[in-house]
Amino acid sequence: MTGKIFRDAFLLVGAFIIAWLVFSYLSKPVSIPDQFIPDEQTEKLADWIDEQITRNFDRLDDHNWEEALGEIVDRFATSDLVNKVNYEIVVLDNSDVNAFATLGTRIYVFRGLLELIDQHEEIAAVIAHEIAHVELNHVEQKLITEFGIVVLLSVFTGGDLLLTGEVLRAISSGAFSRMKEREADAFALDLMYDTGIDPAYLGIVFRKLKESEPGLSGLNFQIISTHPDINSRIRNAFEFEKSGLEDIPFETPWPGKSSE
Amino acid sequence: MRNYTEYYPLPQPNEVSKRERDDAMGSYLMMFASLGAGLPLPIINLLAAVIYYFVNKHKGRFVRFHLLQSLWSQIPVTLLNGFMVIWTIRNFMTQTDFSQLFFGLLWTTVFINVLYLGFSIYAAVRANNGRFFYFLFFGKLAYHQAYKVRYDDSKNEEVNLPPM
Repeated sequence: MTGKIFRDAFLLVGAFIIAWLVFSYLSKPVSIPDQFIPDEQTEKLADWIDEQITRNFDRLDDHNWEEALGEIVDRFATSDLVNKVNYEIVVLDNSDVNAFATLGTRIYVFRGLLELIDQHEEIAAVIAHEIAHVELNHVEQKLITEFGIVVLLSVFTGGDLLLTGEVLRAISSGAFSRMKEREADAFALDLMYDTGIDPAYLGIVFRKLKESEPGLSGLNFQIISTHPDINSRIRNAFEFEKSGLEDIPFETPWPGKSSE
Repeated sequence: MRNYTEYYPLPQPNEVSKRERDDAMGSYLMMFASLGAGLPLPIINLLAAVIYYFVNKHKGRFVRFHLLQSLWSQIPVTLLNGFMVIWTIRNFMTQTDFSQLFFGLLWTTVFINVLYLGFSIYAAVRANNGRFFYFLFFGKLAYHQAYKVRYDDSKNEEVNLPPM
């Protein structure tokens, strides 16, 4: 009887493997679309998010910052790597050390972060990283993963306040997966190199954020202050192959503090 | 020479009590009772089946056979379902494309679940009629475990032998 049991076990496993192979042969692979929400809808959602954010934070309207950040965005717009146009940097008047991207093309930078930065290239590195999250649709993917598209759309069309708060928290917390952070880093390094900015500045700014006081309220940089992986991310930035880099300086004066 | 069969004789339908038939049938129906609670991670089904087994395993060999057949057959199906749930979630979380192998296993899992469901219902009906139905592999395994005469079972018993 034991022999028959083993024979049946082999039969069962064999039938399973054959069925798997046959069904695999008859199936077609399916790619997860990069973008679930149509562009038009994305813009509406982005406006809704902006409305919610500016309800909680004041905008910092400073011509000098607008000019300096505008030059960085214009520089990135010249790269073929960037497909979306009209990036807008919104500076929020808050002491938190933070920056995050949302749906659409707005990137929010906190005054606290700008105060920690010494030059164009450093904030450019942060913006390049955030642009990467937008270009790679990380925000949309994260929201859909966390909430599901149906819930998400119901929130944006006037869902309850609790869910609205949760969606905003998810957006501003910026806690992307390790894989997505690495993807964003890689994209940012390429983008910086492509637009004449030394990619090592990404490492410099990461190190600065890591070494700064725990006044880092976290949000998008929580991943930096708590992630065990941060040292290798800094190393990657410094080790990026940059031979042939054409270092192009920024023309606008730096409006913040300077290390010099 | 002692001459006794390696396995205990199987009871005939008229020898199986109503209570045994009900308990044996219950082992297959547990799956449906716990199906809703088990989704999307179907491990709860398995827990329910294990508990049901330990509660009822002393109720005779007929019941034990059906308990074991149901339990053993449920384990790989549950693991397979759980694995598919995890694989699906993982792909969504990591934005990984769904490969041909994924769909192959998905359809195999669906196919196995349908077979499992059909066989379980049929086995439940047979059990309720005091009869046996042997799943491939699991049937023999359960029969072996429930009906095999073990040394421990017989060593303290006086065995009647035919005349030499």
